[in-house]
Amino acid sequence: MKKIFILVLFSIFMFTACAPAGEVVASQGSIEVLDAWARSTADGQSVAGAFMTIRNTGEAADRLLSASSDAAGFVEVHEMKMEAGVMNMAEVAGGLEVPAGASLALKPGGYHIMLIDLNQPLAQGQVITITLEFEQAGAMVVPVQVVNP
Amino acid sequence: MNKQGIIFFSAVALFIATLAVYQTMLPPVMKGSAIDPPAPMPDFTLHSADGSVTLSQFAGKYVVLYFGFTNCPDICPTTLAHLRDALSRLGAGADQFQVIFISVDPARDTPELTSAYAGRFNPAFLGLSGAKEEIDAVTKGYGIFVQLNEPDAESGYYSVDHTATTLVLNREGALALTWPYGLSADDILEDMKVLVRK
Repeated sequence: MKKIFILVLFSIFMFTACAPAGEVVASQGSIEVLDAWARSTADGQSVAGAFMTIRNTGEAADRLLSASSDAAGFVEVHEMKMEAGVMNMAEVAGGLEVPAGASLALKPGGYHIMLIDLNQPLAQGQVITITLEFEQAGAMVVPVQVVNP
Repeated sequence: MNKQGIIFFSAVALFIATLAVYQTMLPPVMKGSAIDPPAPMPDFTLHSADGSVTLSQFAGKYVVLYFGFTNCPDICPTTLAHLRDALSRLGAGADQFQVIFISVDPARDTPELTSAYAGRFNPAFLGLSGAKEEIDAVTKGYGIFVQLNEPDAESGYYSVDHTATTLVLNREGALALTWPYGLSADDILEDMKVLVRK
């Protein structure tokens, strides 16, 4: 009885551990985009960061070249770095490589999609779209969920 | 049990009890970097949407200071969200902390915008800005590095490099603890629990 109980617990643990990292919100060719989100913004705030995971299921590397959105005037791919406790942020030059069979996480503390000159504040619950331009997979439209700040 | 046995076990019990007492007397290990003795910091007055705010008016509370800018997409909202989450889990002791977000980008961040930005994380968070000279005096006094980058040729957007460490001032306004960027809400909560007992 005890053994069965432990087995059940172990199975639950394994299933949880193996659960997919997130929900695929867009896919095209060998590229899948998972869990795309952005923080809502205050009136007068002109920028927002969007985060997501990009998965390349193919056998050749691809590259995120640029991004655009009808929610903002400009969209750039940025990288944030910490140097001696100081935050530094800059546009990624030459795009971002997504290696074959690998996932690239755009998350706080690393890469993000930067929406500049928002047309209007982002409200919680809203879904905006960002178009990502890949070297191989081409242009793909990604729905981005706006969540609380 | 014979007499020797009783003495032996009593000695072991006493040893364990002594260790336990000693443990409780050790200063608790903080997740952030403790500053001991705490360093007195300069007072300042800056501006919120509702008017002037002076640091010393929060004497008796812990003041959690974070410097950033509202057009910061990543590190500033992440830090403020961690502080909010830690305080909401702390529960009853949360009123012993005043979180203050200070803009290092006064050219874009008016007091109104800075207050609105901070208040969206938690209505009790204060967002302060001011004239450039006022902000410069505070960042200098608190050892906060700030550097404005060149505006982007297309969009005109510029980022601001800044120290991303959160400062915790004790009830007397002296710097007692710093939290580096990247500490989780759980780690911050652990430190807050230690602070409220002091």
